[in-house]
Amino acid sequence: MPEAVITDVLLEVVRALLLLGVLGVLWRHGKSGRAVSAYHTGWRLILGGFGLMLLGSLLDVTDNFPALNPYVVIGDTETEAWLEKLVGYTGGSLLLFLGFRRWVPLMGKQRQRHQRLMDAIVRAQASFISNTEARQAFDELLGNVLDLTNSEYGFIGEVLYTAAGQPYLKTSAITNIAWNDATRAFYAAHTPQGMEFTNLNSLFGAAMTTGEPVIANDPDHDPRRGGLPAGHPPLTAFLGLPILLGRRMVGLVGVANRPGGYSQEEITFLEPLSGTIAQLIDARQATQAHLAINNTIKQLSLVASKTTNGVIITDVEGQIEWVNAGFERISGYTLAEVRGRKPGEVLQGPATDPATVAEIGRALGRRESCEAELVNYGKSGHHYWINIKIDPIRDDDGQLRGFMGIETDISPRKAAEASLAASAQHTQAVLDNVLDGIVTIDGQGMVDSFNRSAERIFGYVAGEVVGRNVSMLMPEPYRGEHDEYLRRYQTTGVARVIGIGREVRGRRKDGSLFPLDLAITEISRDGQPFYIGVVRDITERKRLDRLKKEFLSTVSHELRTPLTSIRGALGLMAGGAVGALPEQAEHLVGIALKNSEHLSQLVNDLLDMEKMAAGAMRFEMEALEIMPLVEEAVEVNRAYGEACKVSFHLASRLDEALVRVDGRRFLQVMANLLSNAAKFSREGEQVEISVSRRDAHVRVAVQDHGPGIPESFRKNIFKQFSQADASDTRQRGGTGLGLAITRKLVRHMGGRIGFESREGAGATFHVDLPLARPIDSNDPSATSD
Amino acid sequence: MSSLERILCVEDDPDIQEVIRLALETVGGFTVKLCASGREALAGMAGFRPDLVLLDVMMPGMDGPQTLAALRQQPEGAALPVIFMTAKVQPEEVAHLESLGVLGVIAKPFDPMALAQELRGHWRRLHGG
Repeated sequence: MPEAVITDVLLEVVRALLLLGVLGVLWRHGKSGRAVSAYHTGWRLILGGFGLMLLGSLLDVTDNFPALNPYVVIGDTETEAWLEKLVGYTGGSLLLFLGFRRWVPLMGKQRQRHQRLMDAIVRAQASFISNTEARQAFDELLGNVLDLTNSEYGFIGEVLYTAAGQPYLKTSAITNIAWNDATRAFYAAHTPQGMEFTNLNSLFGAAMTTGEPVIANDPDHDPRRGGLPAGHPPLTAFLGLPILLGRRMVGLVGVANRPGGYSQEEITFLEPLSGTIAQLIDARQATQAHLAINNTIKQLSLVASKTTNGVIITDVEGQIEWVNAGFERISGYTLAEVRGRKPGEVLQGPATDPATVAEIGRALGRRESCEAELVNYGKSGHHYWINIKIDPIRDDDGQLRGFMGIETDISPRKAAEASLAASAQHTQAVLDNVLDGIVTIDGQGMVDSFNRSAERIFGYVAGEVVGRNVSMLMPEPYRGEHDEYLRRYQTTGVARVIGIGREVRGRRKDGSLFPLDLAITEISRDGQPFYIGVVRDITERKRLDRLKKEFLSTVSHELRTPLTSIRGALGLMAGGAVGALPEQAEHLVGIALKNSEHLSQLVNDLLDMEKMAAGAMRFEMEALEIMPLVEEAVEVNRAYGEACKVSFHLASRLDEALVRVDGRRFLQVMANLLSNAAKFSREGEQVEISVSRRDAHVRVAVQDHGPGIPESFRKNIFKQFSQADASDTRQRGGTGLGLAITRKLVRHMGGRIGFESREGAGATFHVDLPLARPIDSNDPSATSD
Repeated sequence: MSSLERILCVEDDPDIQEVIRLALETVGGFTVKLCASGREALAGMAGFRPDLVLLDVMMPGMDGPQTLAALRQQPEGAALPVIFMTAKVQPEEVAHLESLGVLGVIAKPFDPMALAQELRGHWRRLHGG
């Protein structure tokens, strides 16, 4: 082959290959749909242009190989060559020209559109960053998308999943296509937070379920359509574009009614948008979650800062992240000083109970809430009791985020408890050690408490008695009566036992009965009546009393017996029963007799005093007419008076007046007054006795005309062993006990005794006794004492 | 009205016996039999046939009340007036003695010169005097 031919051929081959290459690239580029639709006319023209050029190039090559000529359509002349070139390059160039003419502006427009899309995306991102409300960003973005796709309305939304895994749409931005008041109201109410659409049987539903873009340019006849609500603007075309983040569908863009419908071109065009929207949605979700947590923490912080309790927040390891002012106040540590450390390291010390700490640790290890009371140590080393409640904090996914502890300083309460416990202990110690038994009962007669002494006295252990009826401690018949008695007291307020110390009989566990001294007071506890009974076993006292009484009796008898002989013998001698005595002897016998009588009286008086002092004297009070008593007294003592050469005269009477007295003791009183009056009268004088009424009393007065009572003696007159003049004592007789005893007797009978006297003008002693009333069965003084 | 003439006295203390004898025989003019114990008194009842018995309370062996009870068993003593004499003069003791169905209780020490009078006084009251 000639060299020129080879060069020619080679050049042509190279050119052909180049063209092929370009075509290939263009084809692939078009196929990928990246820049422009491969089916666009301009693009086709360009392809066609290059195609023709390639053809021309190929024809040129075949020029050199005549053998291939038969296959060429055009002839072998210059015209042919001309035509080849025309077809090849001219035609190709023309096509290219035409193609570019269409393609370049389109590219420009496309690039413009693309730029506008990029701008929209950037703006959306900027808006998103600058606004906490993502809504505005999405709104703007939707507006731009509608614009750029030439759509009438649409939405941008998140794809969320129900608990069952079903996807549903929540709009972030949606065109307001409300067509009536109801829908307008609906839009107004729901647009801000996003509307939720769950109907998967729809065009957008199809996009959500498949995860693939959905184009429906004939919605009415599209099998995937779900139907539109009445009044909804007509839907002529629809494009649903799933927004993917990685492999996960996070959102959906839907646009509608582009004139001419939608195609892959729109899908391709919106691709950069898809990524951005995915990121925006993701960012917004993260922000919202973050916001939610922040809000929660903010709320918590607000609460925590305002509360006086201490709040500690730790991470999952238990290291302190945050404490509130309350904690700082309670512990003395600042947040800076404790951050990063564990509460156990900082706040616990020797007095902290390790068992409680272990218990808390176990609960936290199990990620459970717990509550405990324990001792904490503050910065200054002071320790205090806290009540702490600890809860685990979890985020929305249920993951453990940390722990929150709320502590309350309960030191004052603990101190009060300790003080109360100590006080109660003290009280109990007192109760336990007091000698008297203390039994408390409630309003129903049930024993409420039973102290140690009561246990000793009754022979029961407290546990055997508490909660049971107190009548178990009583013998019959009181046992059966007690409930009724208690009930009657509570309804009528009439008490027989309350407040009075009286002697009752108790019943021990072994059944034995014994005398008790009982005093009862009523208290109120929580508005309920309770009765406190103080009991004293007086068995011993009574035994001693009996011994004493027996002793008194015995002594009395033993003293009186020899006195009888003495008195008797002397009396007989003095009375002349055994003949006349020599004057001196008679005189001495007289002395002895007088003194033996004195001794006798002294014995009587001493025994009386002793009995009254021991409370052993018994009075039998009755309502008696006063006059017969007085008359009897005068009669009985007349002989004594005559012996003193003094007469008794009843000066005034008070008939039919009843007094409450012990008759025998009254006579004793009168004997004393009358004998005193006689003793201190001069011979031949008269003693007047008068009986008169004074208010509610009867006054019996005994008046003598003797020397009277000296001023200096007046205040001592009722005292024991006092007589105006010691020298007088033997002369006048008397033990010096008479008036003391008399006053005691009068008082015991509820009366009063007094006197009037002027030295040198005699004395009048008067006794006032209360007039008797009819005996009242409820009157405690009516019973014998 | 029958008169009081014969008095049986039961008293264990010899000194007091002597005083009583003088008080009742010499001063009072009664016919007196003195016994030192309840048993002696019971034995002497039939023989002496007293109008009144003056009975001490505190005696060894049979005391006053026991003697009284035994006396009442006897036909002669069933309705015989008895007066106790005692140094135990506590009111309840006196009351107890009085409740045993006696004419009275005389306290010791007593006035020997007035004893006879006192007995006559009781006698008179008994017989509606």
